[in-house]
Amino acid sequence: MENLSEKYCIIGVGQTKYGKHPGRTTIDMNVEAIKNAIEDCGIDKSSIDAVLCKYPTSTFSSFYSLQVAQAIGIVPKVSGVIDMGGASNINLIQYAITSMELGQCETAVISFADNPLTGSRNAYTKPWGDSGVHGWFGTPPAYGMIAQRHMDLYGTKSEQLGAIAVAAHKHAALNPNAQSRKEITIEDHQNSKFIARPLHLYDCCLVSDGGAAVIVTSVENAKKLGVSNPVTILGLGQSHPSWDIELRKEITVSGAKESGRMAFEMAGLRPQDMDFAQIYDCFSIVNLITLEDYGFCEKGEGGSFVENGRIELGGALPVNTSGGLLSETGMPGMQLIIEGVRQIRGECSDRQVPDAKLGIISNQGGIMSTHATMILGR
Amino acid sequence: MSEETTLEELLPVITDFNKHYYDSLEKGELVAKKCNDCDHSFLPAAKYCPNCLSENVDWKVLSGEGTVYSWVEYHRPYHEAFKDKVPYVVAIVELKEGPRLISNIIDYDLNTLKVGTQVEAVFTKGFSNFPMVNFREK
Ligand SMILES: [Zn+2]
Repeated sequence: MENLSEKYCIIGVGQTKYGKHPGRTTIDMNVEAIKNAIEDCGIDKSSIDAVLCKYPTSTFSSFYSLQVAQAIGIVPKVSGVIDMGGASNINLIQYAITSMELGQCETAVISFADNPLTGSRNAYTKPWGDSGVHGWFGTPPAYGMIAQRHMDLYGTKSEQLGAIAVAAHKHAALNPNAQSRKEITIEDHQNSKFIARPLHLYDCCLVSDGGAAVIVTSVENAKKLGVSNPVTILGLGQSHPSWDIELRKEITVSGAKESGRMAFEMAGLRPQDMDFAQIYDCFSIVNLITLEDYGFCEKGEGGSFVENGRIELGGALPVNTSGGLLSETGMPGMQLIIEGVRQIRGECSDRQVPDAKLGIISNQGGIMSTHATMILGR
Repeated sequence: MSEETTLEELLPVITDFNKHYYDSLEKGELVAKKCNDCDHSFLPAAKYCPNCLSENVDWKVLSGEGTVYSWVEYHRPYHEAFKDKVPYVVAIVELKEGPRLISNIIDYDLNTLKVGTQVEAVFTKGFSNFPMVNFREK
């Protein structure tokens, strides 16, 4: 099989403001993000022949990608929704590329928008399966279960999770797009209330309204369209451990292990080649486990890896340079792709990683139920 | 929404395939499905063995002994029915016979509760007198 590394690229990125958007529909925010992505690459709207979306997590709506296509006035050759939570963004990029390989489309927009901050948050607090009688509800406690096992097995400390939150907030303070631009200390993290022990408030992502979009095409087509700064897709991977966490073989290992292996193999690169990483961090523990599973350190050593500024700008591996889900926006993953593109284009001013050429992006969903990886470069 | 409706949404939906599980809890017995073709023991109850997809599965009574696979302590209630119950512990319990389930650790001690702690079943009643199995340190 032909290796598709370097054959496709991201040519445009766009977003709304992150924060509160009272009264706006998710369709409306998708349109704003797509409009900005089209302006970003300067192509004509009529070049887009595929519209792919992750449906809003807060409110399921059927045929969602066709609702978005209609709102941007495009009759797509290829369209669809993938139901893999936060992994859907990269999964949809992969679906776009597959469709392009089949000759069914040439230029795809992939978008997402949601309004859990001013709308409904019920999706994140519902009972799990048949265990409501045991008080088994909500997203943060399920990640708390994963964090506690990592702590008990490997001696990982809450202060080490705190180092992840400190780095995210430090980076967000340099990002004018970030919803929360307040720097915090380890003490602030330790003093913040327990949401679900062992997770403190600062271990948990923001809740945000907003939209984001990226435009994908082949490197060859990008030239034809006259795009000046395409960012090349070097590697893709995916792996999806399980739905119910109690049925997962080992909850301290995520889909990042297999998904990352696929992406590094496709790209012909290793973890030490990466100039930065944008790691899905709905909760601090996910960042730590993903870094282990990608092979940046050994399993169980994530706690000491993230300490002493190693994952901060200026450290050995800058992680989540825009603030991630913890501090830029709680949006499920598209913002990490956008930040990866901007870093490689060198557009990040105060938070720019010097001479950033290669970066890895993780997307994941559910309770570490799904995972997708993308390696970008120039 | 009335109090009764909100409690209702917490209760499992009883089906042909899980009814015996809850009837057994009522009698103070913890049971799981066991496949006669591949020996796999599993929960939650289902018509097909998830290992070999056989329909040749029976119930078996379990010892009620197990270990804590992981745990979390709730500090905020996610449902009004749990308003007066925080803090409480939800755990994944790995039973001696293999299957894992979500349950509560009652009378827990944060100094001793950890991954690997040995626990035993305690049969209790939940909302609307619904039969349930909890665990405590052995
Ligand atoms: Zn079987």
